[in-house]
Amino acid sequence: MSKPLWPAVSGAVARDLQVEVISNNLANVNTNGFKKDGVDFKEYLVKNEKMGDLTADIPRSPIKDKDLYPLDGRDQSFVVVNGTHTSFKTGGLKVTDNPLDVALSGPGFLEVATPGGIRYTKAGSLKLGPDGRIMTSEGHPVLAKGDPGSDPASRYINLSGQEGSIHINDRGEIYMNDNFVSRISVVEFNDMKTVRKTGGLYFENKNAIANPPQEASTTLVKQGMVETSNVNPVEEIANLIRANRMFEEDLKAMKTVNEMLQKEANELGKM
Amino acid sequence: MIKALTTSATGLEAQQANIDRIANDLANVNTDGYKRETTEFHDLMYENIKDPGARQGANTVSPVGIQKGMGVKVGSTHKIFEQGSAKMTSNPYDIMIEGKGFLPVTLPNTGEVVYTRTGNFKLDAQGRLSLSNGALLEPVISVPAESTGVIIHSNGEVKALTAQGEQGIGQIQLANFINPQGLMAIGNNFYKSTTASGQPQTLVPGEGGTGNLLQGALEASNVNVANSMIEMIGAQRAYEMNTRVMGVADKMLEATTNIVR
Repeated sequence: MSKPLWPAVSGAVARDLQVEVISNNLANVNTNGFKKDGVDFKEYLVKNEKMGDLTADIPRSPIKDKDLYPLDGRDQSFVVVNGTHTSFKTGGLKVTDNPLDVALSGPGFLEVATPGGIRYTKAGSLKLGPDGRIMTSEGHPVLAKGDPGSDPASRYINLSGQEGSIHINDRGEIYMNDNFVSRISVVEFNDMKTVRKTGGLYFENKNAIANPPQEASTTLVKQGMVETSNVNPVEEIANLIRANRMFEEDLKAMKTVNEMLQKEANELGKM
Repeated sequence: MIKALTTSATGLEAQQANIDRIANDLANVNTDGYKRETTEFHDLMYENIKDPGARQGANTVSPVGIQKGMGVKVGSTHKIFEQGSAKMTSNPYDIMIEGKGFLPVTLPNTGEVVYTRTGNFKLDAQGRLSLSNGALLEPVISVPAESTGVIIHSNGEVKALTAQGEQGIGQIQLANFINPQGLMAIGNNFYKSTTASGQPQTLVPGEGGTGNLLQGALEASNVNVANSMIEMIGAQRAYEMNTRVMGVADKMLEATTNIVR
């Protein structure tokens, strides 16, 4: 009897995770370079108790009501969260006129050397370090285009000793006073699914062997702009309301099962 | 669900920091030499519930994983050293910098050298160029009592007009920083050098991008009111949305507790 309780519980747990993902999206609605997450649900059938297409046969046991309709496990379908996925849709571009702000228009990422290895980011609000290196606001150096196998330290972009204003063209080439200084590395991935978030607006490539970063072919570097968060508040709030209602419905189902169990325990015995 | 509560709380905190910063910018919309700030947000760490590529069975790997974010934090607030517009004052001791440089001044109580973009100098009792809070221009420039006027050239040369003609009384120098965003604002339009900003390079005005000096003008605040207003609307709405999430999380918790009565 308590079996119907668990599909409702699985629904409530799945909605709970959805609300958590939405809350993270909405917390980052003003975070430049943030990419929103979505939740994939999956129906999960426990077993096929009785196939629906069985030919009728002479019943060998007394007929029960469930023999009259096919029961292929749909009464026991659980919902599970199959995965979360990051939407790499481009956010809006905001003009800042800051020469070291670069927005990546397209699917590309900047390469950043962090203590944990090379990370990728869309947050192009770059800074100049005290030693003249270009870095993210967390102090991790941004890498120049170069051999992916080489030591990241050899690919730091150093502007010290250069004079004049900074110009970055669409290809990511940095010029100061018409002198070519360096070229920012912009990479793209064939399979975005292995690119996962690590926080701090960084992404990590989880499968560098099968899905190596490739030199950007379609991404343009736009100087003096930043890419805003791609969270759509309307969509998130609508999902939030829906998740809330579905959660309440799941709880309602649990309550009903609870009442049925109560009747089973208390009233059935009296008969 | 408790996580959704704390996640939206990080959103509230971040947006509040944003509003605080916008309020400070707008409060300084008429402060000469003020540089507007920007707030940068970073997402917090992620909880990996299921890794993508995890083995599901023989020859099956999961193509997607499950990640749950923990919210947002203020990554940095930093100044935007965009040139403010020139405001003509016709006051001979007002100096404006048309470039990236900073004027070095000595604080009156500690003797520490700090940097400013606000050049509204006055003469103190000894005829030295000083700011209204007593900070002296570094190196000190004294205007002789008998002078009838002062000329400040764009390259920083200061000359006094006396009965004998023009007389050089000093040279204003400007400090350049490789990373001005690393400077620490200490109030009163002063900035302190830090390891992030790098050591100041003292140069003659006009050299190395420090910029020329303009006598009789002040640099207006570079706060863009329209922009600040839009940012304020965005921050307020983001704040509201996060309270909304908090409300939903609260309702869900309440409903859960009410299953068992």
